[in-house]
Amino acid sequence: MNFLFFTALKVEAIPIIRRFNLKKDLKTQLFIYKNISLFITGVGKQKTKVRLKSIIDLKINWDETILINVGIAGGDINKTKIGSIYFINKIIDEETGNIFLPDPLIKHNLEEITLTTVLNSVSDDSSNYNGLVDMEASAIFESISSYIPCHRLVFLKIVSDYMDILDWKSIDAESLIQEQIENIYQVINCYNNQNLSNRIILNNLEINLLKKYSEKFKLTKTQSLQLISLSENYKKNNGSIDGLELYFKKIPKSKQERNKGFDTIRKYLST
Amino acid sequence: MIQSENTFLPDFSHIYVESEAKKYNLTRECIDRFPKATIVEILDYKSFFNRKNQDFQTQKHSIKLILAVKKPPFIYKGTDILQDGGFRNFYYNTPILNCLYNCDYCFLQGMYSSANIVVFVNQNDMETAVEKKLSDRLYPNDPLMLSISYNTDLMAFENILPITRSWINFANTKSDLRIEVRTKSALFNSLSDLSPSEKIIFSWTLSPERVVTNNEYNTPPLERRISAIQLAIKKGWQVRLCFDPVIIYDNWEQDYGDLLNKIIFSIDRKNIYDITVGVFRMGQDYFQRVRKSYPDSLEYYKNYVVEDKIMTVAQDERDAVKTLFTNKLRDYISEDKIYFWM
Repeated sequence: MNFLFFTALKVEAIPIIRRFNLKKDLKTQLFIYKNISLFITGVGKQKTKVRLKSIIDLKINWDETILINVGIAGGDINKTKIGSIYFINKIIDEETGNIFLPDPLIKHNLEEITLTTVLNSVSDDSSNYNGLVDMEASAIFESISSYIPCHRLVFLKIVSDYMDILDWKSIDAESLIQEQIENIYQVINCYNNQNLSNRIILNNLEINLLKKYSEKFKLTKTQSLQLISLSENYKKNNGSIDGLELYFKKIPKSKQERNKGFDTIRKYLST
Repeated sequence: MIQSENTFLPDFSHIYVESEAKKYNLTRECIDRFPKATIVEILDYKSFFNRKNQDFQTQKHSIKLILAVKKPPFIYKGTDILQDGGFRNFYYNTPILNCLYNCDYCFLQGMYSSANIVVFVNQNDMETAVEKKLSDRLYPNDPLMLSISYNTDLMAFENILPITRSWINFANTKSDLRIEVRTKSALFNSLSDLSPSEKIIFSWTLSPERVVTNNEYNTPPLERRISAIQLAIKKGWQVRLCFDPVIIYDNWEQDYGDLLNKIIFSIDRKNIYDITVGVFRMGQDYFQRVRKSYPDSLEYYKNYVVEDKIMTVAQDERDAVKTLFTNKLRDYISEDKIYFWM
């Protein structure tokens, strides 16, 4: 599996960058090492949404990606403890009232809690919020859930304050995340499960090959779709579509010849 | 990094409860049944259950429970795919959406985007709707047949919530109501204290052990289903035997022949209400939706024919199924009690 961390602040990212030896890739602005990468979204919903467009444009292989949003959050003084890490099972967008529900399928050892994403930082009244408060999670869920299924969206929040802080710079976010870095590592170990990735039949190489065959044979759109569908059937039942190559060696000279050739291919793939 | 294997949360680790559902007894009963579950309050089950970009088969590793309040309609007219068993007033309802089992040929995976289970807690509203339908049914001289287990296996759920029991008790108070309980469950003993009623038909789906293993994941083995049927018959309940779908594969005739021999030998024909036989068939739209998710099952990568927007097996295979079952069952039950759906 690939893991893509999102943090709002650079200081939140530093412990993760250090733990996984991530290096900045100037082209993509991602911090990367092997199957783990990290992206800094910026603070607030608006900035997050804009910044996420750039990551969506990178055309990451979402099929095997687990997104983990790590950040600090304000907590309810009666329900949470400063420095503790929580697994989010419900995100409420305060502005729109929309509710976003991650799909927790994987065992973890963290306490679960509700998170409210607010527009402006809260520093005077925690009684209105049930659980934790942050400024990005709903925007992340909303933007990314079209690309990654909900069971691969993970939100981990570390309580930094009881929504009573006026000077945000006084919060040592880096230390708070650093204190929880091994818990974060445990979560990604739990999620490193191949059963979570999207199932595929034809790999990219095979799909590109079929596209090439379609072009070479000047197949109609319907024929091209049939070729993919029948190839999926064939591979599922026989393990490989390597034998198909033989049927695409000779380029047809007319539509009639193409249709005849495609008929032979159809029969071969239907066996 | 460690590669994790069996790290899925247990089924019902989370219970999602609609705000409106909190006040119902069934909700409290369910939450009490799973004291360790994390409770998450939601506004409307549809926004969670029907959302896009869920993976049905991955969710099957850790099924969540959703408790919701059903909105009308509470009762539906039977469809062409659903066998009416000769009842002209044939209806179904949906006390539960989705199933604990994971049969690879099941239409539910094409019907719903989620594998999570929705339990509708307002049982009274559903009962009231049935009462109303009883009073204005299309054929007033015929009873109303209600299938309560169309979008689920209700009896498989009986140890969690006794919903089948509730419906049986309800049916016993209505003279013109008949209820069909379709199941693969072996949990009949959870109902065996009830007095048998001719208003109820238990329909057990039976398949060769090979199909149970390869296609009917998480279902009880054939032997346990047969034991449940034997107990039901012994207690005096009416039983329908369903061989539906008959799965076609190399040597299917041998396996199904053996299965029928076993049934004839071990199940007393007395109290067999009827027998239904069908082949794999699924609405084209559901089939395509399942196929797009690239399930592991081979059933979606076979050659089918399309008839009236239904994907099904070829006519010669349907004929072979009909021949096998007719020949084998000839001496077991009269032909007019065998229904073929193909």
